[in-house]
Amino acid sequence: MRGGHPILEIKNLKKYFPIRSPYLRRQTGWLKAVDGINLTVKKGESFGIVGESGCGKSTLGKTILGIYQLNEGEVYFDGEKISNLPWKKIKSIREKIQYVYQDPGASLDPWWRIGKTLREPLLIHEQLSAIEMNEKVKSILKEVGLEEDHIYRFPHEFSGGQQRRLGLARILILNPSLIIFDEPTSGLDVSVQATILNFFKEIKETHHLTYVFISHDLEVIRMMTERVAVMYLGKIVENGDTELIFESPRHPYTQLLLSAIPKIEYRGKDVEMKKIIVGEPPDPQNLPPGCRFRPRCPFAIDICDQEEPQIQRATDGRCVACHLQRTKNQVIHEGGIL
Amino acid sequence: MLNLLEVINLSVQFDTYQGMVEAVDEANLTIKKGEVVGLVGESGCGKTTMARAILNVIPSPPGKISKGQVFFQGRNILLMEEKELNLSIRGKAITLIPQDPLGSFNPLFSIGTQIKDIARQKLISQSEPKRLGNHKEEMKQKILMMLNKVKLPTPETFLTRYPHELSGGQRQRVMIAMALLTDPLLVIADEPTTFLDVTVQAQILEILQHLVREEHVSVLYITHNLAVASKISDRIVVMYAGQIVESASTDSFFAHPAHPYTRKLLECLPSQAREIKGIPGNVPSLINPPKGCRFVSRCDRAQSECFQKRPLQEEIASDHWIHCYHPILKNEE
Repeated sequence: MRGGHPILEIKNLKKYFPIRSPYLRRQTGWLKAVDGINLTVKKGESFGIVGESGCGKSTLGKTILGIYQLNEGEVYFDGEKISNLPWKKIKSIREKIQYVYQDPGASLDPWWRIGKTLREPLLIHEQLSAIEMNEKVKSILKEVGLEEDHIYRFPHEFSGGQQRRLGLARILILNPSLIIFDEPTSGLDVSVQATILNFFKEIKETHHLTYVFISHDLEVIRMMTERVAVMYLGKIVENGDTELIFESPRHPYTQLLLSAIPKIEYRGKDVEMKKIIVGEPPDPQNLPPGCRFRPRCPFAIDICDQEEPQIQRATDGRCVACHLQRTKNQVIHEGGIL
Repeated sequence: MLNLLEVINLSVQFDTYQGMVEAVDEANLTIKKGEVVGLVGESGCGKTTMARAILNVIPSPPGKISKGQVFFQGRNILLMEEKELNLSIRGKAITLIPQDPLGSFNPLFSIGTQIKDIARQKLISQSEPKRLGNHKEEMKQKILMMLNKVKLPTPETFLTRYPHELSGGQRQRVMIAMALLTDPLLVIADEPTTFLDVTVQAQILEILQHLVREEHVSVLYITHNLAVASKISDRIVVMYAGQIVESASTDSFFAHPAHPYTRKLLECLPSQAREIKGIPGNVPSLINPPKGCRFVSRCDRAQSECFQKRPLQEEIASDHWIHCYHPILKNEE
C-alpha cells in the first residue's frame, strides 16, 4: 500500500474566518482556523488527522471538499486542481470525494424514509431508471449489513451503529474513491465502535477506498490509520507513520497528548510515568507570538517566543515543527514536566 | 471501613406505551467510607438511573422504584420525607457532578451567584438563617479556597463571569468545586469527563483524585470508559442491561475479569489489542427482558441453565463478586 501515487495533495491551505465586532459588524480580525497546511494522502491508505477540539480539524476537512471557500492555497485531487472550481465542475468532484458527518443521526433527514435518502445522491449524480435505482439501493443496504426492507423505515428507527452504516451506505452508492470521516465513532459505545471500525476496514478493502479520518480519539486513529498528522491550533505540528509517531512522538505537544490517553491501571501492571498537559489551548483569535504551543510547552526556550517553527523533515521520514527536536528518551531523562 | 451507602435489591421500572421497562433490576451496591466506586457500563444500561434512584429523584410517573432499599448512613433514603431529603441529603450529604456542566448552570446568573447559592444552602442547614450576614466573609473565603483547590487560576475573576465565558474544562472544575463545597459524604460523578478532550480529562481526573483523598469523600464514579474507571476507582462495578454483572476491587477486576461480558468489553478497547473485536448482537430490549441471564444471546459460553434463571451472586475470589454460571476462572487462562 505504501508508495501509491498521491490521491490528495494540499498545498499551503489557509482558511480564515473574519471576526466582526458586535457594533456595526466591522471586521476586527481573523480567526486562523487552518493556517498553512501541507499534506499528501496516498491512494489506498488511511490517513489520520488528530487534535484537540477547536484545533481546526473539521474546518480542514470541509475546506478540502470546498464546503468552505479557502482563503489561500491549493488542493489537488488525482493530480487535478479542485480548489476554486466553478460550480458545475465541483459536482463531479463531490461524487469522488465524500464526507461522512460527525452525527449521522442529524445528517439523515428525519422526515424522509431511508429509501428516499439513499436515492437522493443517485438522482443528483447519475441518470438511472427507477428500477435500477431501487436495485442499487437494496444492494447497498445489504452490503452495509442492513436489510432490504429497511428502505421503508425512518432514521430514528435505527440504532447509533446502524445510523453510521446508513451514513456510509449513502456515500458508497456513488462509488467514491476518497472518504473523509469526521469523528466517525463519537457517541458510540466501545462494543459498537469496535464492530463499526472493523466494518470500515472491510469496506475499504472491497471498494479500494482511501480514507481520511478526522478524530480526537487517539486510539481510534492509531488503530485505523497508517499515517497521521497531529494538528494544533490550525497548524500541523507533527506528521508521519502512525506507529512511529505513537511509539516515539517528537513534538512536545504530541508527547503530552499521547501521555494524556487514559490507560488501564492497576497494581501488578507497570504504569508508565504520567505526564499531564498544562493548561488549555489559547484563544485562537489572538495567538501568542512565536510558537503557538509556547504557553503550554514545558521545554520552551527563548527562540520559541520570537520565531514560529517551520515544519521540517527528520531522518526517519516524519515531519516535526519544533525548535527542539527531541527524542522521547531525552524527555523522560529531563523529567519533571509540571 | 464502614458502609456509607448500601443499595439492596434495587429495581427501577419505567411505564411506557410499549410496556414496562425494567431499567434497573435487583442491583446491589455498597460504597464504603472514603471509597471510590466506578460504575461502568454501556449507554442505556441503567447507570444514571441507578444514581437517580440513590438520590430518590426518579421522575414518577412514569418511573418508580418497585423494589429494594437504599441505606445511607444506616437510614433508608427511599422512606425519608421529601422535605428532609432536600434539607440534609440532596446537594448536602450527597452531591452530584453532572455530565454536561453547561446545561447544569443557569446561563443568566454569574458563576459567583450560583456558587454562593450553594454555600448559603450549606449554612442554612447548619445555623439559623438570621445570622447569615455574619457569615458573608467566611462564605467568600471558603468559595475562593475551593476554587483554588480545583486549580482555577485567579479564582476572584471567575466569580463575576458567566457560564458561557468559561471553557469546558473550567466549567467542570467549577462544578467539582460546587459539589465539594457542602462537605458531602458521597459525591456522584455522572460521566464528568465525557465532553472533554483527553488532555483536559487527564487534568480533571487528577484534580478529582487528589481532592477525594484530601477531603475523604466517597465517590460513585459513573463512566463508560474502563480506562478512566481503572485510574480513579478502588472498586469496579459493571452493569449490563440493568443488572450488575461483576463487582470487584480494581486490581482483582483487571487482573482477572471473570464475566464473559466484561471480557468481551475489554477486548473492544483499541488500546488492549491491535485487532479489536466487537460484541456480536444487540443489547436486549428492557421491555420483557430475557428471563435468565440478560447477556445470554451474545454469550458464547451460554448453556441451557443460562436461559432459565438469572445466576445468583457468587464470590469467585476474595471480594470479587459475579453473576454468571460459567465465569472465566483464573485457572482457565
